[in-house]
Amino acid sequence: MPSRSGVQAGTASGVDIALGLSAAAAAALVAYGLIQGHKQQRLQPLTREQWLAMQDSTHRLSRSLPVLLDQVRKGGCLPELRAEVWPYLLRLDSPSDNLEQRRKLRVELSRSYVKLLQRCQELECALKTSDVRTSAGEATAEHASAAQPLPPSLAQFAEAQRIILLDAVRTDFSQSGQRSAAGSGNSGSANRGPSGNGAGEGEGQRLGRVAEETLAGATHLTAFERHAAGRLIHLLSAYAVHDPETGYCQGMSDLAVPMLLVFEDDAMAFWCFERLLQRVKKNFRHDESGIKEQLATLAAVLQRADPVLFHHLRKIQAGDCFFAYRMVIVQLRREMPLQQAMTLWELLWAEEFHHKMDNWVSAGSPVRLADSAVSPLAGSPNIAL
Amino acid sequence: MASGGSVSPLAKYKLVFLGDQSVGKTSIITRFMYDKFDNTYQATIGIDFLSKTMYLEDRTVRLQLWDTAGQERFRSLIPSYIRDSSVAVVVYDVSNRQSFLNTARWIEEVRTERGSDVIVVLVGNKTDLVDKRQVSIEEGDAKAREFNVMFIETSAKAGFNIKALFRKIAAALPGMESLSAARTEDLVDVNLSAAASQSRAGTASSASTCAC
Repeated sequence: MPSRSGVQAGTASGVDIALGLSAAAAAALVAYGLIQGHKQQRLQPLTREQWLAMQDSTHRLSRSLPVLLDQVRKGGCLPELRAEVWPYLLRLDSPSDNLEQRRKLRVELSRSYVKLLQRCQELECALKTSDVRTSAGEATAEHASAAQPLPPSLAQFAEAQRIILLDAVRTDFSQSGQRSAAGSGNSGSANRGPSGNGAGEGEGQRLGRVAEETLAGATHLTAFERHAAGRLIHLLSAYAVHDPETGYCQGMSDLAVPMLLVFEDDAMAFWCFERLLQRVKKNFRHDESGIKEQLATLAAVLQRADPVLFHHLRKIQAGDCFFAYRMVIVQLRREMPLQQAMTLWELLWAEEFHHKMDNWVSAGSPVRLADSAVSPLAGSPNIAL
Repeated sequence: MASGGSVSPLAKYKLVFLGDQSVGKTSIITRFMYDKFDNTYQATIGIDFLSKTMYLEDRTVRLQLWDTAGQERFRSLIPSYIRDSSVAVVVYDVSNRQSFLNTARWIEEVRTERGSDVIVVLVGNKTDLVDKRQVSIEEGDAKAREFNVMFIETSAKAGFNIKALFRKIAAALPGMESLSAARTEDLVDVNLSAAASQSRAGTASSASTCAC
């Protein structure tokens, strides 16, 4: 395995190395760093009191952002704070916004999400029409081989939706939903619950016929899981329309479920997922070049961090690190219990943001933090349809 | 990895599982490994690995199972998974014609990478979905003959023919020719259910032998 990577020889700490990697590969490194004693001071998870103390009288975070990041990167935050904290970590909320501005942003985000769902509905209608016209049967997969090919955008959507439906009814909600909540006793917050009132509902957005049928046929799902699967189908379909180049790829459902559980509001779940995808979408490239790069980097890091282990991996022909493929794609979501995975994610987001800020500060432009650099709507093309 | 001609006491064989999404690759492997089935296996991402030791007469073989993801997106690395495998198990869903049609592509991909230096088994899974069947056993058998590969129908859910599938594979592994047909019955430490025995008898005549 070539050792070409972004890894600096010499003084790089575990965390520095980690930042050059995907979050999941980084996690292995953070874990390794912990074992090796590179560990930074560990704090208790952020509490409500600490969180409130960081905000000014208008509920603005502003200059407390570095404090927040430092706290979260060292200890994470309590599960019930995630719906408020994650939008900052994912740079959806701007620290310079007060409560009123955040409300406006949410209205805006909700509207954008509804537009995406409407676009999905239009595409579904177009599919149904072409279904009738070609009478190619009910399975959308048949379109691929139908004599009259669909327009590319429509074919792309049909394919994405076909796989989204396959995955939605076999996604693991069990660790996350009622069952695990009863066990762990720490996720019974207002941010979770089956009665979502998000943009997906209440605005006339309904699942398409095929999705309804799929869910109805999934008799192995509990009522909670069926509801969650419906939200998941909405979110993933909207993403496929929002970012057609990436579309839908298996593994995204693993990344989306925590968002749906943290955010009762479907639009917030969607936009935080979208932010997360911005970080990791190269892992989903069609030619697998992104993931190959990540695995090569992981191999290079392992080789340096633990030569004995790496030697063993090579001996058993695992030097290519293919075994970490899924770990990287789903950000260790399947490798650890949900709550731990969520903590890991927030640690990594905070860590990366913290380092970015350090760089800005050392570049002499700390004000960038509080301005449009972190505002999702200011000149950002991401929300445009 | 896989030894070519002779079988050493700890010979390792790599089996790669291919086929469209949701045809049951992971389910077949899980049934074989742990003798269980779950309705909610999550999609396989990229590639997954499992291994199992099988005891064959006086020797032991280690099967390394490479479970691939069915989605198109994960296919550019598949040739590198196939490259040094001894066996390719190409799976389709008997209740999904498209997945059956796509097996031609999978088999061709294996042939491109490995030529005839590989055992290929075509597997029609989900035979428990009797009312939804879209591909008959005759069609499956005909396709297997066309491509000169082995063929079997299974149901990972019902536990039907899964052990028979792996017995068939084991018997066809390079270096296993010396094992008598009768002895290959005992390759795996299993108790066959009545249904599985019956079907094995039923499919024995239609199953072609290994091309290797």
